[in-house]
This record gives sequence, C-alpha cells and structure tokens, in this order.
Amino acid sequence: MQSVIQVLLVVVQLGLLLALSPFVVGLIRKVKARLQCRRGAGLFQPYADLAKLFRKQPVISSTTSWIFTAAPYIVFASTVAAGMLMPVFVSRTPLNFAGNIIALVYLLALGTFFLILAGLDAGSAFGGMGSSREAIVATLAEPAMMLSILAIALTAGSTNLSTIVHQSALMEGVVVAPPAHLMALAALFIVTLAETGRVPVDNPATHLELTMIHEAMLLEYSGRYLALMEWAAGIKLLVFLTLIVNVFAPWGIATSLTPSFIAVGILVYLAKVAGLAVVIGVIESMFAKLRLFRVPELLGAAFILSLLALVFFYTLKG
Amino acid sequence: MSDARPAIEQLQAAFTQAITEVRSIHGVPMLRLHKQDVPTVVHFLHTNPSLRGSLSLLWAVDHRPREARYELWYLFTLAEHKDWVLLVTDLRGNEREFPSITPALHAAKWYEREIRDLFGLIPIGHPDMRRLVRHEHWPKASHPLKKDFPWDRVLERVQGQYAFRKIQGEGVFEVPVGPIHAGIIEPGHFRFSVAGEPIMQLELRHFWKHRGIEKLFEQQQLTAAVPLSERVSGDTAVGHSLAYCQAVETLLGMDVPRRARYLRSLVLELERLHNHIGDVGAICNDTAYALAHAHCGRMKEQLMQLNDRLTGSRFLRGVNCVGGIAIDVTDGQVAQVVTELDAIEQDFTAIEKILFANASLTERLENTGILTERMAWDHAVIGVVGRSSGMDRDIRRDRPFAAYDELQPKVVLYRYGDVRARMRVRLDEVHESIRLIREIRRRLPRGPLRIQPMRKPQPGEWAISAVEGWRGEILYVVMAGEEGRIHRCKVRDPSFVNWPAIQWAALGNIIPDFPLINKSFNLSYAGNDL
Repeated sequence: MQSVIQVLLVVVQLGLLLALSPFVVGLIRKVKARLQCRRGAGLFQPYADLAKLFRKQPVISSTTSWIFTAAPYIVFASTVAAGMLMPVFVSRTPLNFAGNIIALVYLLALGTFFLILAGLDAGSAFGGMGSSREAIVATLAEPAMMLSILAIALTAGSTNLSTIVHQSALMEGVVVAPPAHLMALAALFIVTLAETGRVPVDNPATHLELTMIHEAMLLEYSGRYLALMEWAAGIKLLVFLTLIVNVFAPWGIATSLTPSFIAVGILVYLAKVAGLAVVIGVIESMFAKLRLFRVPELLGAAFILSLLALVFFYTLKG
Repeated sequence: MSDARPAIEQLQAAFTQAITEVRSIHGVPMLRLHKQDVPTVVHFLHTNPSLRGSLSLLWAVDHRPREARYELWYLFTLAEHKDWVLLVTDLRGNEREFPSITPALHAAKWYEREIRDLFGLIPIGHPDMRRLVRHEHWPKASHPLKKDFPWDRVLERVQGQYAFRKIQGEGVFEVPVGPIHAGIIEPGHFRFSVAGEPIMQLELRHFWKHRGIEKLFEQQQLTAAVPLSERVSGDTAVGHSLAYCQAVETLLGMDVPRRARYLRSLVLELERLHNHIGDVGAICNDTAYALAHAHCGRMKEQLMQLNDRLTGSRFLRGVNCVGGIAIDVTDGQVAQVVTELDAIEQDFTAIEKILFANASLTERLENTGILTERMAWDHAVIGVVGRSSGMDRDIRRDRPFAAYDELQPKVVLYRYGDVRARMRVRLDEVHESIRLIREIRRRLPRGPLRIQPMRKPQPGEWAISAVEGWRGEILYVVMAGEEGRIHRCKVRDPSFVNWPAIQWAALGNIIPDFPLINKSFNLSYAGNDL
C-alpha cells in the first residue's frame, strides 16, 4: 500500500511539473501584458505553442553534429529529473533518496552545459555569443545558489531538500535567524531571474539577436527540438519557483500523506507559485534590462548576500 | 539667415585664379571652379575659422542630351549664420575623372562613392573605392543615372564579392548581422569585429533595395511627382513631399498662400510627433522596458488615428501638392487636434516622469553610444542625432520655410551625444511640436489653399529646397528639363548622412548595446537607399 502511494505521488509530481510549467510562463506573460494595458494572449497560449511546435517538421542545419539533436532531450530530461528530487506539494518527496540539493544544482548545470554546447554546435555567430554569455551567467549564479541554500540547510542540519522542507514546515522555531533567511531568499531570487533568463538579466521577449542570452542559443532550433527546449525552460522556471516557495515558505505543504493534507498541499502550492509568478511579471515590467557587463555585479551581489546569510546564521545563532 | 557676401568675397580674394564665375541663383551664391582646384577650395572653406563650411550635399548632373557635360555640385552650409554656398565644377567631353575631396573632408565619402556608382565618374584619390550603391551583382558599366541608361532596363546578375575590412588577431571574431533580421526591420547588413563583447570595428553594408527613385523622378512631370516623393521614406511622407513641392514651386515661380504654409507646418509637426513618440517607446523597448513602449505605442496610435481623421491618411500622404495643400481643415478640426494633443501631452509628461525616475533605464542610456561633438562635426551629422551631439542646426530656424518664419521654433540642443541625449532631444521636441501646433491654431490665417504656376522654367534651371523633417534636414535639388519634365532630382534624406556616423558611435561599446544605439539613431534604410 505504502509503495503504491509512493509511486502515485511520483506520477502526480511528474504530471504537475510537466503540466504546470507552460501555465507559469503564460501567467508571467499575462501579468506583463496587463501592466502594459494590453489584453495579452490567453493563459493557455504556451500549451498551444508547444502543441504546434511538436507537430512541425524540424529543420536542422547540415553543419551540426549529434550534440545538436541530443541536447534537447538531455536538457529536458535533466531538468525534469532535477524537479523530481524536490519536494513539491508533499514535504517528503518519494525520490528524495536519489539526491540532495547538490545533485539538484548539478542536474540543472548538466542541462545548461548541453544547452551551451548546442548553441556552439550550429556554428552561427549568435549561438556562440549566447553560449559565451550563458557560461558567464551560469558560472556566477551557481555559487550564489549553492550558498543560499546551504544557509538554510545549516538550520535544518541536512542537505537533503525533503528534510529541510519537512523540518521547516513542522517546526516553528527552525527560522533561528530571520535576517539570514531573508538574505538567502534575496540571493536565490536573483539567481532565479538569472538562471531562467528573465529581466533584468535577459529579455525573453526580444527579437534582437545581439542582445540575447538564452534565446540566442535556441535560434537554430525548430519543431519538436524547439518545443522540448522551450518546455524545459518552463520546467526550469517552475523548479526555481518551487525551490523558493518550499524552502523559504513551506507553510501548508503536506507533511503527512493523508488525502486532506495532500489536497491542501497542492492548492497551497499552486497559489504560492502563481503569486511568485505574478511578482516576477511585475518586476519584469518595472526594470530595464541590465547592461551585460553589469550582470556579474548583480550576481556578485547575490553571492555576497548568501555569504552574509551564512555568517549571520552562525553569529545570530549565538 | 543673412547673406553670404563676406564669405564669397573672402573666397574670391583667396582664389582669384580658381574661380571662373560667381552668380546667385534663387538667393544661393554659386562659384564655378576648375575641377583641379576643388579640393583646395573645399579644404579652405571647411577649415577656415571664419567660414567653417560643412558639406550639406554633393551631387552630379548629366547634361546630355543637351550638352555632353557632367556637372558636380557641392553645397556647403557656413557655421556662422548657416548660409549656403555652392561650388560647381564640370567634366566636359569624355572626361570621367574628378579629384576626390574626401581626403580633405570625411563627410564627402559616401557622396563620391554614390556618384561613382550611379554616374560612372571616378573620384581620383578617394581612400575607399569599393562599391556603395551598385552591389557586386550589378553588371559592368551599369550606371543608372547616366542619361543613356534606360529607366526600365532589367539588369542581369553577375558574381562578385564585397571586401569587408578585416581585423585579425587572437580572439577577434566577425559577427555578421542582416540584411535579413528577426524583427520587422528594413534590410541592412552590419558587420562587427569583436574581441569578446566590445566592438572593435563596425562596418555597414546597406543599399540592398535600390529602387531607382531618382531615375523615376526623371520620367515625371514637375507637377506630377509628389506621390513619388512621399514614398522615398514611408515614415517621412510630409517631409519629403514638402521639400519636393518647395523646390518645384521655386522653379514655377509660385508664392504659396499663407494658409497653406501654416497647414504645411501643422502636418509636418504632426509627423514629427508620432515618429518621436514612437521612437522614445522603441528606445525603451530595446532595454526591455516594455511598459514605456506600450504607452508610447498607444499614444503613437492615437496620433496616427488623429492624422487619419484630419487628412484621410495615417501617414499624412496626399496632403502636400505643388502650389499649396490638397486638403482643407475647419477651425473646429484644428481645435479638436489641439484638445487631443493636450490630453496626449499630459499622458506623455507622466511617462516622461516615469522614465526619468527609473534608474535602471537611465543606467542603460547614459554613456551608451557616444557620438562626440568632433565626430559629429567631421561627418557633418544633422537632425536629431546632430542636435544630441551639439550640432546646433535646425532648418526651421536657419532657413525658415512653410510658416516657421512666423512661428519661431526653439531648437533643442544637447551635447553629451549618448543614447540618453538622443532620447531627450526627442522628448523636448515633442513638447515643442505641441507648442507650435497650439501657436498654429492661434494664428491660422484664412485664404486660398493653393495657387497655379506663374511661369515655365527654362530647361536646366534648378532649385534647392530644405525641410527639417523629424529625422533632420531633407534636401531636394530639382532641375527642370524639356516641356515641364524633370531633368534631375537629387533626393537627400538625413539618413544618408547619419548612417556612417553610427560606425563611430558604436566603437568601444559592447555588442548587446548596439541595437539600442541603432534605435536611438533610428535612421531610414529606404530613404538612404533610393
């Protein structure tokens, strides 16, 4: 019985990640459109886009190698795997034995690595530019991300995400140093914007090839390969949002496996992710994109914030 | 505007031998020179501290079939009172070579290459003899502005390759962009040499869609070519048609009625308004600040619908005609325009406040794509871009046309020459345009809208006209031919002058900032490529 529930939970979590991610993308777009006094496309437009792309015949440049066609699958698979390691709506996620927070970070990094290779593989000038920029952003974002989660891990005494979330959700007193928590949150939020290619680091809505980061690496893709890449980008965004809401605001997550807890857990999770997506939409409307050479400064700030969070954790703990 | 007599006397005193004739035609002083003396005179005119002439236009005329002679015309604007001085020289018989003035004057470089491509005349000593307009796939000896080249000839394609300037070294990459872009943009090729992100060199390769506009003018009657001029650059229909009409009116001895001149100013300012507001939004959009873009887009649309209600054309086409203006407006309509503009100005001021308060936007715009005053002067940069780099030139003030002698526009001037300065010039000019339209409403006189031609021009007679369009100074030179036809019509959109300058403004910036720099220039590809 127990194992059946476990399998069911895995399936539901997988389905949720796959099904919800285009909606989050659509929601951010909608918020931006409303703030610009536009009606905007429907919330379900990204689903239609994916369906359309999956039906289209892909065009592949003759100068590409196997990396180009393999990359979308690797990127997609690694992102989904990262999502499966994470508690989503139940605090004790069934697959948590498979890896901790460090595994999650490196699964995402694996996807980024192949994305960068794919950008270079087609040999276009724009893909190369996108790859080199993505490499800078990813290298600088990674330590900040690790440190900010480590600051929280220290409070829980474990690098296992389920343990962290479960303990935070159960115990009121786990937030021993609120300033440290807030700093780690700010750092992780900046990393989220950078890693998922949002304003002020990248502009997902631009047609200007020279300014692109993430989109530049995808310029040569079409058809189902593009669909996989777009979908993976959506899932990555959802993974980061989930990480933020569950690590920093785990209240409401299902701490036991009773149906009522699970139902509340799913509803609360959806509400929290939607709320965070709206916040990102608002931030995208408020700021201009940073000059490319300012991006390292922003990520440097995120790193400092997460480092301070660690220091504060030790000093404030007494 | 004063008269240029002291300058002419100074030139005559300095070059008694070189100058063969001094005349004044339609108020423009003209000096005829031997062709070998042109570079020296030009150098003197450009560098002499009391003259400081800046090249405004350089064009050629093929006088066949009346005479076997080419003429080269150099139009200079003097620094002090913005007076015009014309230099003329000619190539007789089989002469095809003329001394290049580019070594003395940067601003001549594209003009001389254009003349070489379109007339087959060779600027001896030009440092860059690559083709400009005539791309390599054009066959040998096809120079479309020569009189023996039929206007409807279809050219076969030949193979050829353009030699881009190369920068080589470890880690230096070439990034080719265009002529086909991801967005809806006109065709233009930009080739960057970059070391990492910083731009070491930018080379433009434009002129992908030569339409033969100047050749088409030569097939038209003087009075019938207004629609063609409106299509030189789609977003500047009023500016171009007004410049064309004014030149023809000078030739036909027409004194345009006062009411028509006021209405011409009205539509010219309306054109400036919707373009400037659209540009402000587009600059913001290129920094991913889409909020301002959306609101500017909304205001631009309001203005274009206003244009449509007023004139029946969103782009204000079909408004200007030779001799006056083709449409009339009632006092009620003008009052309505002012009321709507009041509302738009209120909105625009609110957006302006948001823009100035947004530090992340300011950070992107400041110090990006600086075109120094010296660069702007060397390349004779004009219009919005010039006024952002300290070039204090505005035809509306310097050579008033339409109703500007009575309206007295204030000229907006900034000196930093960065993207922010170019945006601020536009912001301030929006307010100034709205003020001018209010002024027009207050003063709009009654009377006739257009008049008939008073005289027939002699073949070979010419007139120059200048209009400050929203991008900058638009110049037309129209030369009359036989039986009321056009013998030659030289069209000069400000884009042709400002495009080369962008190559210098981009240097040292990083590649992802280039689209922003380009947008702040917002030059026309069509107006450049006739």
